[in-house]
Amino acid sequence: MSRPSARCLKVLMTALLAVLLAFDAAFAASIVSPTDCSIAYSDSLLVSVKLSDSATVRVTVYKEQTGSEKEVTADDGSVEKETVYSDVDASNLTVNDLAAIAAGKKTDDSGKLILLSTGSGIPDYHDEVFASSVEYSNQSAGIGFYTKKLSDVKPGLYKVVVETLDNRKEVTETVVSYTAVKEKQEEKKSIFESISQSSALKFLQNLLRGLFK
Amino acid sequence: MGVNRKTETIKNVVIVVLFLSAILLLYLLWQPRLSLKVSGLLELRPSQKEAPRAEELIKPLYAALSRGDGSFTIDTKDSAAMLALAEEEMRAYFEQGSPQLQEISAEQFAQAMGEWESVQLELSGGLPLSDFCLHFCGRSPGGDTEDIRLDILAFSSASSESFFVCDRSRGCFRVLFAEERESVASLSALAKEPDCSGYSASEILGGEGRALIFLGLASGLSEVPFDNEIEQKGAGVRDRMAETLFGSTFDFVRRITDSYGNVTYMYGYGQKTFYASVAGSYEYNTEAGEGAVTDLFTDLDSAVLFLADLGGLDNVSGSGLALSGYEESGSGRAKQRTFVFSQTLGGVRIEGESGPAASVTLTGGQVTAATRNMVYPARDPSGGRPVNTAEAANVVASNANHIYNILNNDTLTIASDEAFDGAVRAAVTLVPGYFASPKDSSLIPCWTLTTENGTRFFFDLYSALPLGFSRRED
Repeated sequence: MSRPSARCLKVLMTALLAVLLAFDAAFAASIVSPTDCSIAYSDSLLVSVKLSDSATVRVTVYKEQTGSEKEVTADDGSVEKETVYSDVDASNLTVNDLAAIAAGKKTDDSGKLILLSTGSGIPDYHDEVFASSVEYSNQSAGIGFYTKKLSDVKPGLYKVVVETLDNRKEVTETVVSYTAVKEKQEEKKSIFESISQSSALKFLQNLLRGLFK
Repeated sequence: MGVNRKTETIKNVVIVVLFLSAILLLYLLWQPRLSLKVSGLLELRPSQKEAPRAEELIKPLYAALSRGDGSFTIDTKDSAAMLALAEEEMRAYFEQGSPQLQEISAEQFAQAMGEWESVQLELSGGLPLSDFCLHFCGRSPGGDTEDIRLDILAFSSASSESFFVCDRSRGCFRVLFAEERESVASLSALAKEPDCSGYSASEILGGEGRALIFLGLASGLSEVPFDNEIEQKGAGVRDRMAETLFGSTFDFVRRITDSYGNVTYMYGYGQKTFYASVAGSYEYNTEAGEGAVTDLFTDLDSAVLFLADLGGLDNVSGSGLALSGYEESGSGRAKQRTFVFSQTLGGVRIEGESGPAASVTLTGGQVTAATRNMVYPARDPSGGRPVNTAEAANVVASNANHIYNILNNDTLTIASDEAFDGAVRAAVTLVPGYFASPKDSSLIPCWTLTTENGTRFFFDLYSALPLGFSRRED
């Protein structure tokens, strides 16, 4: 290959790589924990946000609630409608449900209502602040982490929101992760198969081992 | 005549007693390895200095407890007591009979630790499992455990009839017995003063890391100045050590001093050499003689006593000694065992770039090589007011390029994601420690990151800035 065309090829390749890298480094922040659409059985929640270069983020954790209208009788006898919020019962949510909630659409492309495993559609959620916003700046030129362990976490549906802020504290990107926290399971699958051997075989094994030790 | 009879009988008895005791003493004198203490007495050594028991030197780096929800509680202060109880639990298990050994995958081990109630003790000393069990439980698990080193000792409610052993270079194993025991509950009860939380590297950092990353550690450690051996004990310490090794008359011993002031003593044509540097580090080598078959803990005892004789093992400012490495080769009478020791201060290990605090090599039960490079801290930093440390996660993240470059001997900058993934995968333990800085003559509180191939990195405990690194000598 002649020199000028080789150089031309190299420039093109570098340009292509740069374009690809630019697409790759779209988001400066990513949520490592909790994994999006995951289910946790714990009373604590690990929040871990990875920043790929120097950036400032605002991390907030919300507990999702659903509202229901209730009729409240005021002192003067008039009846008012009030919205009362209560925590979402996450005990029956599956990973698919979480994916549907995270997608943010109530109906699919054909207009049909998306149903959760409970049989109902996706309700409107109210964001109740569980851990107030914290700002974190990654000072180093490389990767930085914001980590926090939240304790006293009751079962429910939680949303971690990470907003990347620019110099004027305006939000440039938002990354969200949904996680369902459930009660600790009582029954757990056994990890190890039981090794059962007849006692005679075991005796022979031990005998042989002793002889050849 | 009766009186004469009596005195004659007494004389006979005395003669017989003296004769028997003479034979007994000769027997003890000529026995090659009856017991070190007895032969020590007979060799008329100067009084045995204070030396810690060999078993006390096996200290865990930390204990990690889990309630089964993926998060761990880290406890360093109670880990020594937990190891003592773990040894008793193992003894009780072995009383049930011979165990079965089952190899398990790393994922199964991680599940048993993270998803069930569990207790892990990070030992990192690399002692062979068979020798460990033989000493503490009276029995070895069996022939195929010869090569398994005890890096992690763990118990989990996932399998209450067994205990778990991990050797980072070989894999994880389950030592299975007949009956269940409540080991996890009894061990967890000992964790009274936990330090902080911990998560596996894959959870906190993403990727494939297996190290346990501490979260939210507050520490009271502060910078402590130190003296080396000569500054602490005076210039005469070198001659005293040489006398211990070569005898007080220095027969056939040559003394060579170089222009810097480092002195080498040599016996004969080099069968025994002792090198003493001006910086307070010492190295001893001698030819192996007729050896005998010994077991690991007898050798460890000999190693500790040797160090106590050669310069002493004083607890200055609350510093101590811990076994931090072990290598062995050969077999039978030519079996060579090398013990590597680190000093401890304020509950953490002191490491540096100038080699370990001490190392002793025994061949056939006799000391054939030793090094000594101890520091003497000016004060005890325990009880300092706890201050937040640099997050361990960020210690790895912000220094990922540096770690990757050193590990791969590559100074070209590469994509930070690749460096980060490489650093996370290579990290084995990341614990607080002290870095001995010779140029400042002080101990700096640090995060000590140990990687798979034994390379250690040191980062300032509070600012995460790199302080240095040391490679494992091959």
